[in-house]
Amino acid sequence: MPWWQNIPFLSLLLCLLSAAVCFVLPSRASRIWSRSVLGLCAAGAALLLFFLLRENAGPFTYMMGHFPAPWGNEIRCGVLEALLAALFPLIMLCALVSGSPWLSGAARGVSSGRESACDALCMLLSAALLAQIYSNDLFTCYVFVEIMTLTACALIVFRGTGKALAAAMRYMVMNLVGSGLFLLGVALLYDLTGHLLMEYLHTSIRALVLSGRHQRSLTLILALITSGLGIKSALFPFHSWVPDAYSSGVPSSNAIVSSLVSKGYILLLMKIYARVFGWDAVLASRVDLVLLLFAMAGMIFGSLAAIRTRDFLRMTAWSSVAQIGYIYLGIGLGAGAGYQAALFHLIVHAFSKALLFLAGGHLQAAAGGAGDLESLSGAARRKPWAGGCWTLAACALTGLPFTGGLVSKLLLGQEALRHSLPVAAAVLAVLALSTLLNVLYFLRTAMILWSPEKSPAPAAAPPMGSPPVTPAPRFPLSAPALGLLALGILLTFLLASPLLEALETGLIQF
Amino acid sequence: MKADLDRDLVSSLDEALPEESHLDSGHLHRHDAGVARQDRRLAAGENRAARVSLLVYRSISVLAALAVILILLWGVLDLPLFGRGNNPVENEVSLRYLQSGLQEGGAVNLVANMILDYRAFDTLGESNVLFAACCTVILLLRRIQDRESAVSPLGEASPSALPEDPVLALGARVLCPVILLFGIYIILNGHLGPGGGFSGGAVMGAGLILLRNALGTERIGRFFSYRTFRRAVFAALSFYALSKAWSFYTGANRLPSFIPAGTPGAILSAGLILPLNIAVGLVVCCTMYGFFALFEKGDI
Repeated sequence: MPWWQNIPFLSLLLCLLSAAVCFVLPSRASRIWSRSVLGLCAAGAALLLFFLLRENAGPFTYMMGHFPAPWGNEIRCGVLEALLAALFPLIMLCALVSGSPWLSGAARGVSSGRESACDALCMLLSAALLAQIYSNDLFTCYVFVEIMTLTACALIVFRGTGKALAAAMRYMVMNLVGSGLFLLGVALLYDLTGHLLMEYLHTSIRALVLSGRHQRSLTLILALITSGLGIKSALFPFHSWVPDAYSSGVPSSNAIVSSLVSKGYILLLMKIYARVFGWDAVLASRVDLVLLLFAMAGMIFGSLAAIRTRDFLRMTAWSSVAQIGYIYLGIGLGAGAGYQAALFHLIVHAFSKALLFLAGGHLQAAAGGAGDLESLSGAARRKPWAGGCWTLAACALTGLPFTGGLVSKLLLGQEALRHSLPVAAAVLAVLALSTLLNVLYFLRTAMILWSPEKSPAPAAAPPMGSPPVTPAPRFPLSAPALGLLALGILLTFLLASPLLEALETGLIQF
Repeated sequence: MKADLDRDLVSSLDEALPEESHLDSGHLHRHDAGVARQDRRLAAGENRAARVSLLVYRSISVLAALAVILILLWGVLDLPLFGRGNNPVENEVSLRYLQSGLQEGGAVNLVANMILDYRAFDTLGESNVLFAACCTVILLLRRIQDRESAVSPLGEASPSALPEDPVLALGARVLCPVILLFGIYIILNGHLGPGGGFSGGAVMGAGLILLRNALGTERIGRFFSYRTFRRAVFAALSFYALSKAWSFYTGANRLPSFIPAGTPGAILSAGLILPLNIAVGLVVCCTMYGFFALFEKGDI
């Protein structure tokens, strides 16, 4: 076995170990430790990707312990997994480095140890994300889904304000329902097949489908798993927890929760469709149509809600609902090119949503911590680099040229044309309408941000209901991290064809 | 959706209230009183609308829950019957756990083999679930107390600050050693019989909680402070991660692991299972006790 095949397991275990280490370190040391581990994980995965592409090797499995596949645990890695495992820790690193500190000045002096706990939770979250990427075992996935749920809840609630508590309560109720449905699905699946490992599950399910037995249960399981993970990743009708949850923390935590956590669940769902059920079984149960409908509804209603709200952070959060709709639209359009579009948009959205929240945090700080759109007028002029990054991310989510968003919209449209006429027409119409709505609210916000009129002295008291924003962050690395995310958005456009090629290879190996 | 409705209800009540207080103040012109009465009637109408929509909402949610229950039952009827010998779950996986677990894992308790050897990675995740919950509760509830102000805001109300209850104290003194010893036995015996880290840790945690209630926070703080708690959790989790990293690495690379297996049935046997049980027990015990202490007083 070549040495580089140890990288996935090493980065997973390193993240888990670092969580315990960060917990006992003082806050400064834990900050440095967690950032370096994230950088190391991203670099390791990039190395892994390099070797996978150079050797032109197929996917490999890695035995977690002394026992082979159906008995012991196993992880599996191909090009797609390595790519995502390099990008997710990188985005998390940027979010941690460029955002404000976890706690504002006054609270920090009093409560030593809380920052270390936050860092420990971030390490656990990155371990869980890596496990979603690599794991080849459905129950391992469930265990790490639990870790993701809990750590994301902590990142939503850790400021302890009333708004954060309410948001976390809502988040927890919805997400536990989602976890429960997913667990029910896994348990029923185990009852039908006697396996938890994905390849073996796939063989048993195919045998069941061919023999025509237990069709009812299989459909039920597919529905349970889809709705469970759909709730957790804020698919349209299950999105009620999103606007509060994505806007209650500090910019770093908002960026992490909105851009990474939901992606872990979506990736898991795609993995289950591709590796456990097989796309044919999914097609046979008509789940793809349901996903298409929900995705299109989400694209419209998410944008409409974003237009209606006057709160800067809530607008950004609502736009997530629409963007998650794009990703599900790709999944609903089918295996192959649809998946490719979905994954491409997943990457673009992870970059741009993180950038949107982080740059938005800087802009809010420049405007004196105000939460509503009007009081942010002129903020981008006071911090042109943050304003520029925000505008770039907004362009990417709208789908303007020179950003990856354009590529993903083109891919989605192209894939829709291969479907039957009604589906294609509906998808194209919704894509056009959604782009128009995106332009409406992003353009409006950008115009407010760049408006020349100097607003009077920063608002003395932020309006009721908006979260108090921490004082202006003074992190030296903040601008380079934002620049890195912006570069990512540009690179997804400039290097679109090698990226798509890598995604295609990855999907064949998936 | 429900919260929206609730908010509507609250806001309509808020609108209604000031008008009433205005009325009560007494010196109103007739015209004003008329407007106020009209407003109140309007508010009452909104109120009724909110109540009706709440009722509709509740009945819809009950119906939806019933529908989900029926669908789930309908799906469950299709499953293989429970306990049949030829069910899909009776396959080569469980067969190998049962037949060769003793030789391969070395623990007489086959469940311990399964969760701490065959599928140790899942259990590593599980203990980190507890750790994540712990961190969250610490973030939310832990209040740092200055050395000068000995009594925390909640301290006076908490049971530990009450005068010592003789019955509780005597009972705890008699029971706690037995409980703790029993917990340790369950953990150490985890690879030989029913038990293990999760159950034994829970018993020990319960013993510590009883001790804290009987003897007070100060006395238990002498040997179990926040610092001890942090160090114990760190030691257990990092030992688990490091030892399993070694075992995964040697397993996947087909290297010898140098971990003695011992003879099955002896107390020092089953390779890593005994130390891992101790680590899991430590984490569970600390989590249980830590939750109690944090919820009770805001500090461990």
